[in-house]
Amino acid sequence: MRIPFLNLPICLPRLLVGVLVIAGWILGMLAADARAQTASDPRDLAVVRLNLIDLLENEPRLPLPVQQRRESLLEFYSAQDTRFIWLGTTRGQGLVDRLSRAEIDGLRPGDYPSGQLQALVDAAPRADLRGQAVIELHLSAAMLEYASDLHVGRFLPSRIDPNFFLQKRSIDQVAALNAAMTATDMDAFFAGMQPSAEEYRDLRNALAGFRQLRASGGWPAMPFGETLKPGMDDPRVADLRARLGVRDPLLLLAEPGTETVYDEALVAAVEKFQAEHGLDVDGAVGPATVGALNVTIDDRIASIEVAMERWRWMPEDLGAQYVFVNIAGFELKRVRNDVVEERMNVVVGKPYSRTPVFSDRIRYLEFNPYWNVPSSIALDEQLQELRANPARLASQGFEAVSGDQVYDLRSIDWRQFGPGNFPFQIRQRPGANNALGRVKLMFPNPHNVYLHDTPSRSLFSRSERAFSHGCVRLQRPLDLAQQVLAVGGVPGWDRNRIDSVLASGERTVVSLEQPIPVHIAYLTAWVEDGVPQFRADIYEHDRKLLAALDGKDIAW
Amino acid sequence: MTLNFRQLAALILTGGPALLTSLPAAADTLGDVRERGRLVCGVSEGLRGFSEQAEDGSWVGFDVDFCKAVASVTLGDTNLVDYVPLTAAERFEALGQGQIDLLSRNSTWTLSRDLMLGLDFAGVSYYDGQGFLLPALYGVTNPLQLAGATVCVVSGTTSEQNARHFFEGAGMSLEISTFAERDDARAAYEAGECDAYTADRSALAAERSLLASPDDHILLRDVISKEPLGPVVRQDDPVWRDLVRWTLFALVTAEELDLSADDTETTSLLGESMTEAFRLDPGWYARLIGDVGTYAAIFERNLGTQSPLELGRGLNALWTQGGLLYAPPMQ
Repeated sequence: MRIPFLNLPICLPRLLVGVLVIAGWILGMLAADARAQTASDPRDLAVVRLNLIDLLENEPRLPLPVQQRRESLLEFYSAQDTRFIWLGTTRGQGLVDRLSRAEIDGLRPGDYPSGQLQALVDAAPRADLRGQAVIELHLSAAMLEYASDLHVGRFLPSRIDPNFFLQKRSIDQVAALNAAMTATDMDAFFAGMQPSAEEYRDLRNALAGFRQLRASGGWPAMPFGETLKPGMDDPRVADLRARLGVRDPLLLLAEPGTETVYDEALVAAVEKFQAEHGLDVDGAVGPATVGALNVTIDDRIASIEVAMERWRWMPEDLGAQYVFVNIAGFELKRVRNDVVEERMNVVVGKPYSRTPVFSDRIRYLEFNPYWNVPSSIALDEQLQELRANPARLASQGFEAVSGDQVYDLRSIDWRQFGPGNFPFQIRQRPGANNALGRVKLMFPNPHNVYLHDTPSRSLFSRSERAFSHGCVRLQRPLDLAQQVLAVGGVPGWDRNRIDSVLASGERTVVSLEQPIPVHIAYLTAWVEDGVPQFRADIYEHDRKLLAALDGKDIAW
Repeated sequence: MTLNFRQLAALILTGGPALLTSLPAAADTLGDVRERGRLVCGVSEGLRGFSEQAEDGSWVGFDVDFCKAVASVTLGDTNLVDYVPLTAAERFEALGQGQIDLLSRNSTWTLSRDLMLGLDFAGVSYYDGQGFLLPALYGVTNPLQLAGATVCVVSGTTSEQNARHFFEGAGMSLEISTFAERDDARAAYEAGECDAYTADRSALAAERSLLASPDDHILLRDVISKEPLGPVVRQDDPVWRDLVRWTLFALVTAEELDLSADDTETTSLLGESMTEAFRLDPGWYARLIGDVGTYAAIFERNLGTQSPLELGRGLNALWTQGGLLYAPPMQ
C-alpha cells in the first residue's frame, strides 16, 4: 500500500513510524520533566491539588504545624481551584525573607525556621507532585504562625505574668489564607495582619528609628556625681551635652570653652527628657535623671519591643469611646473617636499589691460611696486594731455588716473571729474620711478594682504614683464622673447636680445607659505626638516578657 | 556487781578479741583501690558524650573523665581505671554489692535513691532536665506549642511519667508513643513517626548528633523536670565519699580560679587539706588539672560546642556566670 504523500515502499513507512513513535515518546518524557519543573500544566496542578486535599482529609498524621491547622487548611484549599498561595509564585521567597527580618516587628528571627523554609522553597520546582502539596502546606502553616504572632501576640499574657487577665485570642486562619492568596507581596500582607491600633504602628516606627540610632553608635553614658543645677559650670555638663546631643545635635554647637556650662538651651533639653521619661521636671540633673539618661539604647529598644507585644494582646476593638489607664505611666485618658478628650494623673497599686491588667466596662457610678473593705485588708491590716481598740476605726466611719444587720465595731468581740471565721463585711460609711472620697466608678470584676476619688490628694503631684492596694485613684474624679455620665447616655448631670448630691451625703448610685469600655494597661513605652515616652518598669513585667522573648531558660 | 581491777582485766582479755571481731570492718574503699592499684568505675553501656567506648576500645565521655579524675587523685594515673558498663536496671545494685568503687553513669539524684539504697550521691556534676527534640522546620520554641503532637519516649523511664504529667497539667492532649530502646525511639522520630522526642536534654543532644542532619533539628531550651546528675558511692564509707565529692569541687574550683597545671604553688596550697586527709601526693591537684583539665575543659570537650552534642553551659555555668556551679572554698 502506498501512503498518499510519501513515495516510499511499504517497509520504510513502518520504520519511520517506529522512529517517530520513539522520538515522540522521548519528547513526551522531556516535556513531562519540564512540566514537573514548573507544575504549571493544568493536569499537574490538579494532581497537586488532589494530593493536597487527600493529605488534609485522609492522612492519619500530618507534620505538627500542618496538623494543628488542619481544619482551616482544608476549608481554604477545598474552596480553591488549582491556584496555590506558594507554588509557582514568588510569595514563598517573600515569606522567608520577611521571617528572617522579624526584628522589624520586634520579634526574634531565630524563632522562625527561615533556613528550613528556604530549603522547601528551593526544592518546590523539582519536587514530585505529592511533595509539592506538602511544601504548599508547610509554607501556609508557617505563614499562619507568623500572622498569629503579629496579630494576637507570640505569648499568652497570663503565662508571662498572672497579673495579666487578658483574653486569649486567635486569628481567623481561613481569612488570613484568603488574604495571602490575593497579596501581591508578603510585606503588604503582614502589614495587614498587624494590630490596627495607631499606637502599635507608632511604636513600630519608633523601633525602626531606635534600631537605626543603635546601628550608628547609640549614645554615651555620663558619670554620676553631684546634682547639676542650671547655671553650674562642671565638666560633667560636657558629658550631659554629648548624651543629649545624640538626638538634639544643636546642643553640640556650644561655643568652645562653654561646653561645661549648664546653659538655658541644655536645661530645656533636660526638662524635655525628664518629661518624656516620667521624672520630676525640674532641670536638676540628679541621680534619677542620670540613671535614666544612662539606660542603654538596647534597653530602650527592648521596652519598645515588649510594648508592641502588649499591644498585640489588647482587644481587637477598644471601642468608639473608652477610658484607658496606663499603670506604668500613672495616667488615665478618656478617648472618643480617636481623640483624647480628657487626661489626668492617677495613683495605682504598689508593686506588692499590683493593679491587674484587664479590660471591662464601666457600668455605674456611686456618689458618696461606701467603701467595702476587701477581706484581705480587713484580716491582714484591720483585725489587729479591731481587737485592740476598735474606737478609732469606728470614729472614721467603719462598721460591720453581716447579712442585713449592721453592727457598731465596738459591739463585737473581735477576738472570736479571724481568718476562716469572719462572717462580716467591714465597710466605711460615706463621708469626709471615706477612703474612696466622693465618687467611685464601677466595672464589677473579680479583682476588686475600680476608679475612685481619694482624700489624699498630695500623692498626685509625685512623679511615681504606685501607692494603692490595687484600685486606681483619680486626680479629678468629679470631672471624669461628669464626663462619663454624659457620654454614657445619662442626661441631666451637670456640676450643680453632682455638687448637691455630694452635699446631701446620701449614697447615690447612677447606672450608665451605655456602659463605657475601660482598659487597664501596663505600658513602659509609647509614642505621644511623635515623641517616644518611657517609664520605669515598676511591676517588673518588662523583665519577664523580655526573658520569654529572648528564650531564656525557663523551667515550666 | 562491782569487779576489781584484776577481774575486769581478765574479762577484757578473754572477751575482747571476740568483741573486736564482731564489729564490722570499717569500709576503706580508698585503701582497696590503692591495694588493687586500679579504680573500678561503673559507666553506661554507651551514651554519647557521657560514657562511650571508642573503636580502639578506650572509653571517652564526661562521666568517664570524672572516673579519670578520681584515678588521677588516688592513683596518680588516669589509665588505671577498669570501666564496667552497666544497664540502668543493674547500676545501683552493682555499686551496693561492691562490684564497683564509683558509679559515674549519668544518674539522677533523687530522694528515694539517696535514702533507700544504701548509697550516697557525692555531688551534682551536671544539672540536666527533661526536654524536647523537634524538627527545626516546625518552628516550635516551647513545649506549650505541642498541642496535638505525637511524642516519642523510651518506656518505663521517668521521662514518660514526666511528659504525661506535664501535658495533663497544661491541659494539652498529646499522643505519647513508647519504645523499649533509645535506638528505636530515635529511628521512629527520624522516620517522622512522631513530631517530637522527649528525654533528658543531654541524652537528646547525643541523639541529635546521631541523626542524618543534626542542624535540621532543635533542642528546646525549656525543661520540664529537674535531673541533677552526679557520681554515686556506697553510704558506708564517708572518707571515700568526701574524696569523690572534693575531687568534683576541685575541678569546679580550678575553673573558678582559672587554674592550670603550671600553677604549682596555688594548687599545692589549695590541695593541702586533701593531701593530708587522704594521704595524697602533694602535687595531686596540679597533676589532676594537667591530666583531665578544669570542669570547663571536661564539659567543652565532651558535651559543649567543641563536641557533636553542642550543648551550651546553661545551668552548668559557674554561679558567677548565670549557672549553678559553685564549689565551697578549698581551705
